[in-house]
Amino acid sequence: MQPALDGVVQGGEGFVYAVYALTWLTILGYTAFVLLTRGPR
Amino acid sequence: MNDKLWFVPLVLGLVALAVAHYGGLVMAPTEAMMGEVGRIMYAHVPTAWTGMLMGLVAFVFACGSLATSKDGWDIGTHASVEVATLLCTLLCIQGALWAKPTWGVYWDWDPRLTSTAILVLSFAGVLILRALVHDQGKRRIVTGVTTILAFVNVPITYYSVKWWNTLHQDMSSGSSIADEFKWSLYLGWLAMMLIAVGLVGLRSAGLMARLRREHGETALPKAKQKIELLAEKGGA
Amino acid sequence: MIFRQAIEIFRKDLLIEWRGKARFVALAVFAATILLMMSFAIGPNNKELQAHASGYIWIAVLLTSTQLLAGSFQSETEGGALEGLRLLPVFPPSLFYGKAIANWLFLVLLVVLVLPLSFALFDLSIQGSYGLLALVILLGTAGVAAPGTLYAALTARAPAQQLMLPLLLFPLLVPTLLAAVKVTALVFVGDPMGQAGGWLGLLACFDVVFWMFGGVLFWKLVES
Repeated sequence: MQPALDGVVQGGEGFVYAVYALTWLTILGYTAFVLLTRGPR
Repeated sequence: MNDKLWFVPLVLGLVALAVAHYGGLVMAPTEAMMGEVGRIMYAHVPTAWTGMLMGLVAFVFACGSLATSKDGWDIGTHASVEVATLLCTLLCIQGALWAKPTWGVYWDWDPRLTSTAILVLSFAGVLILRALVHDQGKRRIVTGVTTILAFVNVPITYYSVKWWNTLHQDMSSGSSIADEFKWSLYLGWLAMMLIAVGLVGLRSAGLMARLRREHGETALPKAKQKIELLAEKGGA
Repeated sequence: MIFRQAIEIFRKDLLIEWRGKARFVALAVFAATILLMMSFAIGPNNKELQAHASGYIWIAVLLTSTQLLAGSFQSETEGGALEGLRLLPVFPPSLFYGKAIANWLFLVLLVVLVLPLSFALFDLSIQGSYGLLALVILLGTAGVAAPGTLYAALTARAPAQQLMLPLLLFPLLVPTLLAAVKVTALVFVGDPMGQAGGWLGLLACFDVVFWMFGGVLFWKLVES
């Protein structure tokens, strides 16, 4: 893996997966929090 | 309004986000300069647009809350500040994870990244202060004022950091999204917006219910006292 | 009328501070202590210390300012003095501007007291102009005083005010800090490229925005 300043970035797939996983974890996690704290209807 | 209606944008958004992310992660071609790392853009850019827009939504709610003195606006401010904080935190982490393979460092005092981080800190402060103030009337004002100032400060911070860090400006991304995959970006944005709207709606409903319960607890004995007082007067 | 009331509030705050001089002395000593601790943290490297001196000075001012600002509303909330003030026909923005100008003056005084010490500690000299130094002290402290007074009022009754005030205020002060540190550094090392003007402009912009917003938002706050 190299910085992009000299040519194409090599590798870095781990970072890509981390970003997508984190995005979904955040959204679903917060959704769960919102649903769980809605209290009695 | 039925609170369950908020599930419609939420579920639609989640489905749309799955499709958009599939487009970015699997279907889109590998980026010319950034290689595989370029795929981060399909998750990052929609988060950025949505996060900033939610900041604006929070600002509008805060203005409404100060102008009308209605609890509904205040609850909306709380919910949207919360969602904006969450999205902007996510945005910062995404940005750092993109910067590491691209620039070689997690953090480069990029004006966008830095001003977003400052917004996160200010909004987190709003939420903490809100949790500490128990009188709803005071809480509404305090939340409104701090939210407005936190948001007004974003462009000032952005330009001051940009200026401060001019020496590093060559480090800009130079990212190019393949034209035929722009749809993934826009769909992703739409999806995130739908999710954000659904979550703000649901959270507001939950917070409103809680506020009513709190009010009920304090308002009921007061009302009882009043009735007793009236009865006494009537009796005399 | 608005002006007269603001001046009266200003005089009142000045009088309170004058009667409790020890507190201001303590604040100045606190700022001096921070400067000293900065030198110890960085190590006895004169070049390094000299290069970052303006940063240390403004950090010392910021940290001290939270104590100063918190104190400026403590006197109002203790014994319900604020309620008393509100019973008088005082226009709320006058109250804000009176207090903000008082805080501004105290901050200027603080910087003026702390500067000679930092000159000695960090081996500084002025290559730029004295006018620029005066300007950055005035504009920089004004940028702390207005939002600081507003936030001190906001957090006056919150539990853990000493913590909440800097927590909310410091993120807001990033532009002020950046600009003030930059211009102060230019005063020390000279400004051949003429960079100071732009930064002072930014500082002035920030000041105008927050002095304007402060009065309006404070009004809202006091009404509640």
